[in-house]
Amino acid sequence: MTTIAASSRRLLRHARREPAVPAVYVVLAIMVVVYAVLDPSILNSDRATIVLAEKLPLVLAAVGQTIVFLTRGIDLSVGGIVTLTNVVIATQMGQGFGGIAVGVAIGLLVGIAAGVANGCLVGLVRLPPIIATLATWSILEGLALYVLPQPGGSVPIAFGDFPLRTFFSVPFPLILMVVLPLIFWGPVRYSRLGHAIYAVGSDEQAAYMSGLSVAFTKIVAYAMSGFFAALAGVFLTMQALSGDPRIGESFTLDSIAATVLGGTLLAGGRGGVLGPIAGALVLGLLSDLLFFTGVRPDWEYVISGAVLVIALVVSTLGRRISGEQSR
Amino acid sequence: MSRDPGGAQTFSPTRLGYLIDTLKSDWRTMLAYGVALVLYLIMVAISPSFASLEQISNILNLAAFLGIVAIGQTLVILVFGIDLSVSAVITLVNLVTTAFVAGSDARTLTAIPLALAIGAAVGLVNGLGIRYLQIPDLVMTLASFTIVTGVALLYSGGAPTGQSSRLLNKLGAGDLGGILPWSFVIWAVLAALTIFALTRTTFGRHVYAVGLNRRASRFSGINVGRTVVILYTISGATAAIAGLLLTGYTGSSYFGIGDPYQLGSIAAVVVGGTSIFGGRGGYIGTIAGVITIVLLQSLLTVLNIADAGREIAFGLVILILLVIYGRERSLRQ
Repeated sequence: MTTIAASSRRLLRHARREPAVPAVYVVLAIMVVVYAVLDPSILNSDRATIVLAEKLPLVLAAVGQTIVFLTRGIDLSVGGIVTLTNVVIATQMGQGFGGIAVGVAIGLLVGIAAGVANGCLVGLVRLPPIIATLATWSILEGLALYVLPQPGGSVPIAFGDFPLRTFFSVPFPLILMVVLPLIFWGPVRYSRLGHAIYAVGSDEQAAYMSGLSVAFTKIVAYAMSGFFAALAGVFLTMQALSGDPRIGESFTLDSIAATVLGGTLLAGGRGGVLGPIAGALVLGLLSDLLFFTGVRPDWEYVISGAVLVIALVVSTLGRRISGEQSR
Repeated sequence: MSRDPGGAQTFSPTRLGYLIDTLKSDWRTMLAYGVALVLYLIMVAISPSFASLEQISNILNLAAFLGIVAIGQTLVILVFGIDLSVSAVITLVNLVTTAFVAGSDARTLTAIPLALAIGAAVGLVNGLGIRYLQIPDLVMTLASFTIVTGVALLYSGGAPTGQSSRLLNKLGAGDLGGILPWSFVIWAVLAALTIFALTRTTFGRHVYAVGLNRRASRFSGINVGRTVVILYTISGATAAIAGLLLTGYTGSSYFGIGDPYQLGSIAAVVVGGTSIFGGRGGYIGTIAGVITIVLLQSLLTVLNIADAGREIAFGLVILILLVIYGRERSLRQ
């Protein structure tokens, strides 16, 4: 099905089935418009690039979290992986292209390893994800503190500049937000593994009895979450240009919020990564917007939480109206 | 309970007998107490001062705070829920109390119901959101965590003020007869009430029923919604009580005072043998979990292990204990 007509039909079918996804994009569009009104400089592609580069890490973390949600699990260690990747890169990255490449490779490996560990705990040892990833979160934060007890470390400036460019006036971070999930999740999504992930999330018992390896599927899902979290850590380090053992703290809760905003049900088996990408952007832009409207920064937390609740209520009502959910 | 030859469960006539029967029927709880005991013995071996009354008193004092928060968390987890907002409630109560009390014993008397009201209100909102707005508990309590933290920020303007009163200090850090901390006494009373409610009352049976099977409970005539709302309200209230006592213990307020109690309360419940899926376990086990965690934290402090080691060790111990008795049923069954 490669014709444009067929693809658009598929998109429309998907949109109708998951009303939350277009909804969050509508919200995002409104926010972008409001932002542009309040601060027209955002339309300047250089400025937009800087802002988008800032939001990129959360988008990536949210994509990883979504994949785990699809298996009816949760990854609370995302913040820990982001942090650990950051401190590892800040302490291990060398100069020059080779040094940078090695640093990134080590960082990503760390994330994948953590993800695989999570996956084994949940899939093989069969621990409840919420506690298992809570415990690994603690372990990862501890490891990060061990690697870098105080903020420090550094990375080459060339590394930090990487996302700050445009291609034909399109900010590179925006391209990355679309392309990175596409490259790393796209092929998996439409493969047997991808279908297995959805199956395990919908009905684990049935998936098992159909011969799917539930354990392997979960390991892959958590490994991908670890990978995307590490990727987030890489881009976060580009932004921070140094290491900080507390840098990733907010990513756990924020990635969960972004995933939920994006319409992926915690019940697993439904949803996709398109929603959370917008969800992460909504969250990211929200604090900027609050700043612009002159709302005191103290209100930021309160409003973020309220926005989350409202978004959930709306999406729940929406699902009820579209008949997907009785009572 | 013991089983008579016909298979029915009977209750032992004496309270002690009942306690023993309950422990026997739930091996996880016994294991949790065993772990706590072993941990304590290890600690005494490493540092004999841990056998001193003073140290024991100190540990009991610290355990009381976690234990009280864990009451609410246990109740909520028993019905397959979770409360991620407890640390925020503790922090908010702490900030509000010091500012409101400002060293005055008289104002402390008003501060207590005020704090309880705050905690109960947060819990009530959690419960209502989960019940009526159909928001999953994870997200609802996460959102209220965010909002309550925000309110705390707003209230204190980023700079905590005020101080605790002598009365509150006595409750939080003082003791009865030089040995038994007041906090521990309060915890003991609340614990006894909780255990009684869970094991001997109809409401307690409803809690387990809802945790095991919400649908079936509803068909049995149990008001599931009301039960859930009540439990979350209690969770908020117990967090508030812990916040009050902590304020007395530290004497002042600061951001993040409640943070260790978030993971700590959940861990204590799970380490105590209560299933994260609800329906199985209870507060008796949580008590063991609380003691284990407090002992573990003390041990790590005494061994002079830096923050890093503490977090790693903490996570590892929880994982190990989970492997022993916290696993989900195998798919093969």
